Amino acid sequence: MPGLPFYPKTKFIPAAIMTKKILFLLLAAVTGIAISAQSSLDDDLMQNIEDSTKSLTSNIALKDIKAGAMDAKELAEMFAKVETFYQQKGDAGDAVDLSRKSKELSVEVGKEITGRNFDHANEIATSLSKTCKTCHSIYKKDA
Amino acid sequence: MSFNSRRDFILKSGLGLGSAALSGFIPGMGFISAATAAELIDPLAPKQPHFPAKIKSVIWLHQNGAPSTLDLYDYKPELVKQAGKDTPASFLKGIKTSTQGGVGKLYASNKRTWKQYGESGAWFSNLLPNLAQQADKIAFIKSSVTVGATHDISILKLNTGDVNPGRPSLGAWITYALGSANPDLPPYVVLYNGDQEPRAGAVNWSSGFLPAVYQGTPFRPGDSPILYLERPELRSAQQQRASLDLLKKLNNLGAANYPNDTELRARLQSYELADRMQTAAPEAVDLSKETAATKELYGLNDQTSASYGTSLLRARRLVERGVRFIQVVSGWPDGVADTERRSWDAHSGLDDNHELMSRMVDKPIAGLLADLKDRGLLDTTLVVWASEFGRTSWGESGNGRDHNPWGYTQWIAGGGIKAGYTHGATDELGVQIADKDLAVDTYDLHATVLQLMGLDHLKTTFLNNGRSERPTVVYGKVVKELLA
Repeated sequence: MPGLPFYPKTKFIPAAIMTKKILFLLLAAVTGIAISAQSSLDDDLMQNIEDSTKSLTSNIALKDIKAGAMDAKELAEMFAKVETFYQQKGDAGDAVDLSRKSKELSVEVGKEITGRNFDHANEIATSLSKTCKTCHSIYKKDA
Repeated sequence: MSFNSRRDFILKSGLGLGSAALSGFIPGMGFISAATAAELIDPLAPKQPHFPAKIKSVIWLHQNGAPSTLDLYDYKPELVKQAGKDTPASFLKGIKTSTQGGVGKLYASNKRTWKQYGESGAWFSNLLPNLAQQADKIAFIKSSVTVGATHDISILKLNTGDVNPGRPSLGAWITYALGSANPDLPPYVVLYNGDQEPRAGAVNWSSGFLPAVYQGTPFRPGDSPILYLERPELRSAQQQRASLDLLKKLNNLGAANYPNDTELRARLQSYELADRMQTAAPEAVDLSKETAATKELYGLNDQTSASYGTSLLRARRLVERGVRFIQVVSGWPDGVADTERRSWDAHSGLDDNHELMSRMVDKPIAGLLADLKDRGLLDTTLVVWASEFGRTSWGESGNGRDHNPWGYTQWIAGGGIKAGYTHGATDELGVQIADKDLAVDTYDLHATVLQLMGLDHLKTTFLNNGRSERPTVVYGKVVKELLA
């Protein structure tokens, strides 16, 4: 009918069926997230590693023993999680080795910081960053 | 509002100089932030390096658009043999080839010939016959790598060490760490040829979070290198001097009332510096007193190389005058057709593109190295050939090459380096670096340049928002093998 807006026909869906559909979609979404979490590393974890690495570098330069040692400890814990993830995922020998190496370097840098060997700590922290970069060049999708 | 906070507001608003026109009087300095002025009476005063420097100046030759170093320095007989075939999967292991053109058939131009030069036996293609004669002055880095496959991002990384804007460029860090060696000129100058500012622009010579005083000053091609530097025609030199004297007098009155106001002292210095630069900068880039032989050496007699040669001859003159960092960005030759104004970025028609671009830079760069040597300046100057990435072994559009961040060649020449040495290599087809332990990323190149300037990249730091920042972000390793 010219001049009047067009209203498409709508299909009536009973409330019970609608509720079931919503529940199904919710379940699918939750399941999907769980599967996704198993197949890829948590972005937040990787972002936290990046932030802590920058903080570590800064705290070494500022000779802040307490904050630097804390960064190193957190990094060691986060790299342990990365190592576990790749061990469970399988077929990622490089990633397991590199995350283990990163964990060890984090522990080492922590010791150097508490020992006030800031120059050496700086060098180890740089090696740690390079190890991250090596791993990203192999595994990070947008590296 | 207190006196200090009011001044702080005015300065940070960019009104601290009184008028926009006056900003031209302090080239390279921009608007000094209140924090800077408060911290440093003279932010450009010379500062001591961490250890004795090998060099005094850097000439950073950015080959804009990314030349195919596979067609210039990195001779790959196997690529010639395999041309037209698919790239074997084994060569692609560990890299992500999500570049624009995908992975095409291996490509080698049938116009390319190769020869070894000098005692070092370095390979050069027929595209660089003049530079080849300088082979023994050069240390090659044939294992260069970077991140990203788009120009703007990788150019930013090449100059600032990060793929996001906001960090200081290498020249800014050097200026911050060492100050100026010539109070009459900007310590960090950017030169380019062509009729437009380089791609991606000022962010590549930015001071980032460092005070603006450390940013690069672009010198335009032509006789008037700095915008608004020249005194307006309607204003006599006497009038200008009188107005600067009045300004100085008033500021001195203010300074007497506020003896601890370092901002005001910095401001006083910057006006005088600007006045001196008004004379020094045009003289520094005036080539009229250069001999015909020198102009010939830099390729000024050939229209294709004249504009780039002019930039390099100016670079040498700036080195002579103590400028610490000269960033030369390649443009395009004067007088070329619109279709040829496209940098080294040869996604198609690589032969035509690289013949033109090589002819533009070959003689000038060879001339620069020879001239610096003859004048005894090469021992205290570092010349860096750098590009945002290289180009792929496979072809694109039939006769071009795509971007390659996985393995390409850069080189350095000059003081403190192991001339004639080649660091690292690419694989047999030139797809990626052969040994990942020898990879040289932009951070490593920056760390090495800083080392030659007498600066430890780990100790060159600046406190930004409570965080200690350094030029190499969280990376960087000095490539000791490159050092003499």
